[in-house]
Amino acid sequence: MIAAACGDDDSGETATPEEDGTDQSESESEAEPEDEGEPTPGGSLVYGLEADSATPWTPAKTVCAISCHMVMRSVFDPLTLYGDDETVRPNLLESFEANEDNTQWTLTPRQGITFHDGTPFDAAAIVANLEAHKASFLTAKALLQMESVALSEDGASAVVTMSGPWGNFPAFLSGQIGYMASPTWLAAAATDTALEAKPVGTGPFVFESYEPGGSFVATKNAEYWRAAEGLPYLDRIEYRVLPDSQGRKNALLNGDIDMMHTSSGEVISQLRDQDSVELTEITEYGETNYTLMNNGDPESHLSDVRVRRALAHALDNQVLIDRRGAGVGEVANGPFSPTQRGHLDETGYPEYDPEEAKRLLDEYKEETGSNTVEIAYTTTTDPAALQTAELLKQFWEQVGFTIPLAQIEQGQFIITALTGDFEMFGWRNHGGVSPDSQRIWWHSETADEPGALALNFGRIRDDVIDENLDIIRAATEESEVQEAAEAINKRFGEQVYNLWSSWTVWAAAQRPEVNGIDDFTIPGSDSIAIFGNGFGGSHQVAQLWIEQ
Amino acid sequence: MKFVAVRLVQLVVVLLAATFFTYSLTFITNSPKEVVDTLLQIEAGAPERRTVIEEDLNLDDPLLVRYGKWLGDAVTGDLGQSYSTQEPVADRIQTRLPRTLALVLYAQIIALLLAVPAGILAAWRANSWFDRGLSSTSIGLLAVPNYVLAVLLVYFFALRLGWFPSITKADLKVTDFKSYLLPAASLALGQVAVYMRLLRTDMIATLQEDFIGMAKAKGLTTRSILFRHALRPSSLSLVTTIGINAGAALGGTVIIETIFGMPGMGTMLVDAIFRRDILVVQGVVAVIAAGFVIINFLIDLLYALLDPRIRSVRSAA
Amino acid sequence: MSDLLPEHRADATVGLPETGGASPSAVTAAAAADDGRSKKRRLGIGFWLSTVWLVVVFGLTMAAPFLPFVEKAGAFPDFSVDPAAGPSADHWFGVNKNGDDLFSQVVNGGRISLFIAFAVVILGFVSGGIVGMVAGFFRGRVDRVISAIIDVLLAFPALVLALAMIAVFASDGSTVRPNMPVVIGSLSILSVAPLARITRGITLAFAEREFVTAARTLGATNGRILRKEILPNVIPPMAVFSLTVIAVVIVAEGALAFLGLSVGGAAPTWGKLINVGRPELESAPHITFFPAGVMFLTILALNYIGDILQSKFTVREGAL
Repeated sequence: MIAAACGDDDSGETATPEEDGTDQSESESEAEPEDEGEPTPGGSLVYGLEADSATPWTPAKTVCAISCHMVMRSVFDPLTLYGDDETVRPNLLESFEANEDNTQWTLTPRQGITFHDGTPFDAAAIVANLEAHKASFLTAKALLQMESVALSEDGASAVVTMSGPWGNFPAFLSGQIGYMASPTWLAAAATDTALEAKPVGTGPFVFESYEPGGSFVATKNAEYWRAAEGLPYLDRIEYRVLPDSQGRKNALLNGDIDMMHTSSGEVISQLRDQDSVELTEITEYGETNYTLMNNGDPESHLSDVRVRRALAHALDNQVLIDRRGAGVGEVANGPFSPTQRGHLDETGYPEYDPEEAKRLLDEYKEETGSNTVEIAYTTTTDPAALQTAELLKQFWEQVGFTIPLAQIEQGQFIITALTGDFEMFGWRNHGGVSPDSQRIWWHSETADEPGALALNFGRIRDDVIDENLDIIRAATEESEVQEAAEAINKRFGEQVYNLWSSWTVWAAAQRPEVNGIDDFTIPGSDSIAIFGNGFGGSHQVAQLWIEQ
Repeated sequence: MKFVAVRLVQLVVVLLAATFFTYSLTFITNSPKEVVDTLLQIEAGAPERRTVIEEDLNLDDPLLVRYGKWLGDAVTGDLGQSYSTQEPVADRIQTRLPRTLALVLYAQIIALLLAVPAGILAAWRANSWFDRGLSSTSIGLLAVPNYVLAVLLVYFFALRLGWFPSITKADLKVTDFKSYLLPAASLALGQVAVYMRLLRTDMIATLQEDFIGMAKAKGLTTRSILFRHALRPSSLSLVTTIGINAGAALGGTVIIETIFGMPGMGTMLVDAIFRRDILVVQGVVAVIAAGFVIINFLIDLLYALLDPRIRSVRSAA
Repeated sequence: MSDLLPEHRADATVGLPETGGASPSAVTAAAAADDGRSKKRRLGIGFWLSTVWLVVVFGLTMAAPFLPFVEKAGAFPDFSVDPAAGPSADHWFGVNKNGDDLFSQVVNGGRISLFIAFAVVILGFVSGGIVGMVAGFFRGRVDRVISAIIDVLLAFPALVLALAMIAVFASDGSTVRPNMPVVIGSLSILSVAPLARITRGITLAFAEREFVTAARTLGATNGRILRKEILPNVIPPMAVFSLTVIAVVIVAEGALAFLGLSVGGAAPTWGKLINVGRPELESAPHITFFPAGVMFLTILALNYIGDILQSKFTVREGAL
């Protein structure tokens, strides 16, 4: 699913929780009161976001990172959600059903739900949304196997027909593809682009105002389809874009905001010592912090595996974690963090070995006759991210590379990756429950030439990876998925298309009065939604409440 | 009246030149095609958007005609749109400009509240230890870049003492004085020194005039002499400098707003630069330049009002 | 005529727009205001202390590549030192979180800051000087055109214009990556127009003086008068004013670097050092305070010396 997270607020600085005896597969809560009591409605919550990562708020015209998901989930509801037992359950849907070989899916909406503008949410709305994605020059890449979507004969369901078996399809509907936008609004926004900034969904909160790079405000949806359960509890939610992680933390400690998320190890370690805030650390199905490399240009130094290996050998990731992430986290050896399928203790990914790095680089230099091997590294404007970049640069230059640094605005990060206008990027991605959700990032079918938009940002074209991703998509057995994911992991270890540094640790921190963060139950079940739906830094907001 | 008319013509000429300069800056190094390439890239737009953007920018016209059209739009409040956020530039400026102007205004007020009493006291007790101390302090204050000052103020008053927010609210109201205090103080302290020294010099001269001696003879209190009688005739050059500094402080807001995360014109400019959203850069710079020129113009008028001699000299010229 | 502003205000306005704090308009205005006292003032201990400080800073930064106790820019960090420990015998200013020796960073960064400042001022000195002398000497239409251009340039807050120029000229692929010429060129907005304006004013005054009239009656050409009579008189006040401009440019470059819009490269300049130290302000304030302190003292010294010399040398329009 597109619903993956990229960004760089704090990347290269973080990893998994400390060895303090907590179960790594559970989101770990610190300083959280044992009993939060009964939720009370009312109140306004100010939430500090790391970025303003959506360009328009139309789901088919953006690539959502963590902050975007936070905002989107207050206004939109996804069709499905992952429960804490790793099962996908219907959310806005009443049910989803596949035919025998998983080539056709029937999606039946819940009855009686309306969008904020009064448009009914029905099967036609699902069709309209999926067709918008199909027609999008951006998100269509995530639905390449989707051949058509149409109303069922009785008009009560949407029927999605695939070109091949796709067993994991419902999981895709739990993220960006599944956010249901009002068809009326979509149609209006198609002609008047200014409306794209004023989203209309079915979600717990109704859009009020948006200032790019500043804030997004939404107010309680009194007509919410789960209003009978008391949801949402808050009267109003305001997101503030605060890219500087320290500034965000200070704002929380100062009481300027009520809640925030961060993936900065430095900040997490500082917040652990604070009695005045509650901290929830999330690592399950977590992302990986890494250096994203552009493998798409055959003229580039990066097209040679020796150069890529040399870059990997040159980095002492433990030092990076200690220095830039206050020691929070663990060294990563692949894209799959310890609770994800496909994780391996040994992937063959190059260890820190500056001698070997030097040798490989010298060999390359000699063979190509290039005296300097210059590769640019790009990061955000956050001063902490810049310092991380400086340290990476020193490691690489130590073995003989030349690494110019550049900075770009956080919100522009993903677009630049999409267009392939970069060599190396500080990055964070690949969280999620199923390896199938990584397909769009790695499969050659989404790797366009630089200049054209490609969700496979790194422009990886690798037969072994393609083959195994195909196996995963068509798989019916869990063991097949496991095996193929492990094969991908090893392939990455060998080919080094990206430079893994650490497993991402996300944390949500809030004032003690703010409660309910991990209490979101999926409707019609007692299953609690996986925190962030597998993307640690984002979470549901309807269930949040403030002690009055 | 003639003076005002002459100055008004000058104002228009400078405004035209400054906006033309801003406008053409975008097209100096980039061909129109490159400009469109950039815009297309930052909005991640589909290829068919190219013709739309070309039309929006009137790229078929020669530069001067294009500028004319742009200016025509700008005067009616249309500064084009941001291709990164799909939002009209003028809308965003409308919400942000008041905040930035308020910041400049508060900075001036803080500066004057500190500088006027200090300047008067220094003049009254010229060459005393108090005067010398103030003089040294002021030269020290002048050497502190406002961003260093801002970092220090945040450290002590926001992080350490927790008295003020370290960042401002996203929907910052111009009346949210608590949020404004640290940023405004960061801009103000350097100017305190300037104002104080200017006032001190003029005041020393005024205090030697006959009417002050007469006031003393009449037995008026020192306070009354200093604040009632001496201040006004001594504040001419101060008023002028306020104008220049207020305009110049517009430049200083860029970095101060960045430090305090204040959603004003400065952060808008810096964001736009990093996003390569050149039309936003263009719009913001044009508006700031216009504001700067207009402030200077108004101060000029005020100055002429305070000192009739200027008016006659200028009309004669 | 410098029509934007009444004559009275010449002192205050020859200065430059504010850029980051130490606005030169402020400094010159302040210097002007000190009339009564400073003329009598002797150089004094402050002057000599300032000179010593500047000599040390310039000497260290220029000699940095040859000094054994200054690590090379971008040298591999020493991870054995605790950044929170602060200054020590091995690391005089302590180390930052990355393990870089801060003293070396301040020296190496200062080298770039100062290089940029000098380049900008020399650029302004030469071009602004020539333009200003031509305008002031020939007057009439030439003067009106030149003055108008200067007025337009001064119609922008300098930092804003410099940023706009960087936005346009430093765009590199998907990022903004200013190089040395772009930064110097953009910052020269701070030196060219103000130096041109002050030169014009001084020239205007001297062109009326007896010795110039005398030279002219003796048949000297305009070029000769400009070179032999005007130039020697114009240079000293320009040079003194330039001291202030250096300070302003250092602050302005710091502002650009703070925003991440100055030169990249191995050695971060003072502004960038201050900015990247901010996240560590609580745990290790020395990372920010040392570069900020060195910058402060340098600006202070430049302003102080400029202030004193100005009151000795400057020929004010009003006084002529």
